[in-house]
Amino acid sequence: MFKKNSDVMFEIVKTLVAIAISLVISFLILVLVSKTPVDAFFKLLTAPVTKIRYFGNVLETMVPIGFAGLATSLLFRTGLFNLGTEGIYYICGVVTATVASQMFGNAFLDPILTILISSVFGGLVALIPGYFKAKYNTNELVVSLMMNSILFGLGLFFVKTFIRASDVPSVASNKFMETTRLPIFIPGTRTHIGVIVLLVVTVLMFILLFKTKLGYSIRMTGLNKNFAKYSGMSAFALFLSVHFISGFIGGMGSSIELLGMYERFTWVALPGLGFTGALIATLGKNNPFGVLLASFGIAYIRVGAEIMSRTTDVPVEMAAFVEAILVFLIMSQYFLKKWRDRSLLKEGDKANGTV
Amino acid sequence: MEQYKDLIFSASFFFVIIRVCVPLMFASMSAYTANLSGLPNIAVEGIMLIAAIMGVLGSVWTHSAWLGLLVAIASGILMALILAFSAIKLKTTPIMGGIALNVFASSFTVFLLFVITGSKGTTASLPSKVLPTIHIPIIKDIPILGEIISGHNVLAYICMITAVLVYILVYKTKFGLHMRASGLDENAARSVGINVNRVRFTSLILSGILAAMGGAYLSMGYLSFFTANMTASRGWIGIAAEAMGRGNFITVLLTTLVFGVFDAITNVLSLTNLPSELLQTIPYLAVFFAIIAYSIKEYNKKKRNNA
Repeated sequence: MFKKNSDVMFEIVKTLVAIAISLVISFLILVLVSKTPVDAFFKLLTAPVTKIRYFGNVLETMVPIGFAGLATSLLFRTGLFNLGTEGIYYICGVVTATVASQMFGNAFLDPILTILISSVFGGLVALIPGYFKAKYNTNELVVSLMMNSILFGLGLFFVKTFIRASDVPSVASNKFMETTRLPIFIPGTRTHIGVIVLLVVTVLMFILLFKTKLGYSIRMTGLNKNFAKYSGMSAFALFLSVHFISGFIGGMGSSIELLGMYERFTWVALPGLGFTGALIATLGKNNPFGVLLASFGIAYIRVGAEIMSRTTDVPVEMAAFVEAILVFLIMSQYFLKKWRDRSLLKEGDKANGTV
Repeated sequence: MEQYKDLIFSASFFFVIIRVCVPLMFASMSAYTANLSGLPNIAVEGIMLIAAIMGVLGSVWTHSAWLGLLVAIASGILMALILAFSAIKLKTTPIMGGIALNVFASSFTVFLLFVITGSKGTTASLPSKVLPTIHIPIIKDIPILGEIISGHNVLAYICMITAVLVYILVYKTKFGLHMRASGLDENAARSVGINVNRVRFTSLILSGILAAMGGAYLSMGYLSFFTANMTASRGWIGIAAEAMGRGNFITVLLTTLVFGVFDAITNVLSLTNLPSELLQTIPYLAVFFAIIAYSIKEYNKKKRNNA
């Protein structure tokens, strides 16, 4: 127990130091590119908490990247380097758009059914890299990346050919039915109940990982590839289940994002949400609650950067610096390790009564 | 059908193959040199992207395409060093580090684009320079062959020379032996006195230079400006080719060539009125099916050996 506490403490300190370093570097970059660096930096950091609407933006931004993070973390945790969530977000968005324009007109049933169809579709798509990985040990990283580009091409073709709206000049799908819209959760903002669903899925994911046999196999296989082979659970079944669940969560995230935030499907490029999911999974150490926290943090920075970009001369992509530095520092096993070793030694000395 | 035949069986089609193969070859050589030393570089895509914009900016600042290329290469080396440093010294998983660099690169290039040009689309408004096109004397006058081989960007020829140099480095020099040893078994390599970390740092620098030249080719040869996300997964195609070559340089190059042919087909067909969204997926479909076919073959081979 003692060891665990000090581990947690170390992770917290490490994260805080990483945040501090990334903010210092961000400030230096702002000094280089902006005429009003102090103002920009202040906006980046504090804008999201100055208005309830802005804070609502943080929660809205958190939803799609949180789902993407959960979907990706499950794969990473199993030791599968699959980046396919990006393509699943795109194609499931197309599925959502197709389904959401021809529902029953029941405000309770419509969103649930749409999200469910999209999720199952996502799960089935994820089975493609999953099957080839499980059966033939095909490189899932390459397959999933190729699939992203393929799904994007197919999806955009489908949108342009079959569900394109004729009443708007830009490429967009027909309007979703009013009844498929997700209810607003915080009045005065656009924050929809997707936030609640994200929390629920996070808890379910935690239960799956730490309280079930499948979760145990996932964690052990992530630590040692050969585990599944010896545990009696077939690696084949394990890889397929993990891919299906991950795709399911991805499809759900995409659908919820569209039904909560959009009136039509308007993505004419890959949305980048799936790749952000990979960053978030890494920052959250592939732990569901870590992922939730990381998605909040990244959403906060992105909304801060967005508001900053509206009133200063700095573009929103500024957030990328903070994100990249955070990922590198938090991922690294040796960052602050010397400091930690020293403090562990001191603790040991104290425990032995030699100081 | 007749029109497709004319498009594909012509000298200009083979010219296009070389043209589209150059960035893919650089990408797969970049992935190859890094992975051979045991430190996979999956940031090829991101390095190419950053080098592409740095080359353009460098040529604007220095008024010279060649100095622009040097700036691109320097940025590639820097990116590769970040990856190497974090993997070797900070013990970051190189795959995760690579993913982070890729995500960073796609935002960072847009950031630079906006800060410098005020737009998030292209650098077309900047007076950037393009690397010269070479017309090879004598060869350029040979019918058909001349049309195919002559008249490419100088980086295309550098690419061919580099491929020979990488082959010699890997298979004919002591350093190449050290690279392969470090990749095969790092502990065994250490036990015979190889400085594995130094070998990997050097390999990554090489990998960064190769990826950077591929990126610079895109914005200073293939096109004459930078556009956001212009690499369009070429780095990943290089990584796929590397994965299928399994450490054999010639196989890596041949696989890349096959992918290049599909890329060229896409290029030529885009002149027809087939839907462009579907055409764009052809190269990725080729890689997708190739890598699956390859793994099935490997699987069957393994099964036969066990039986």
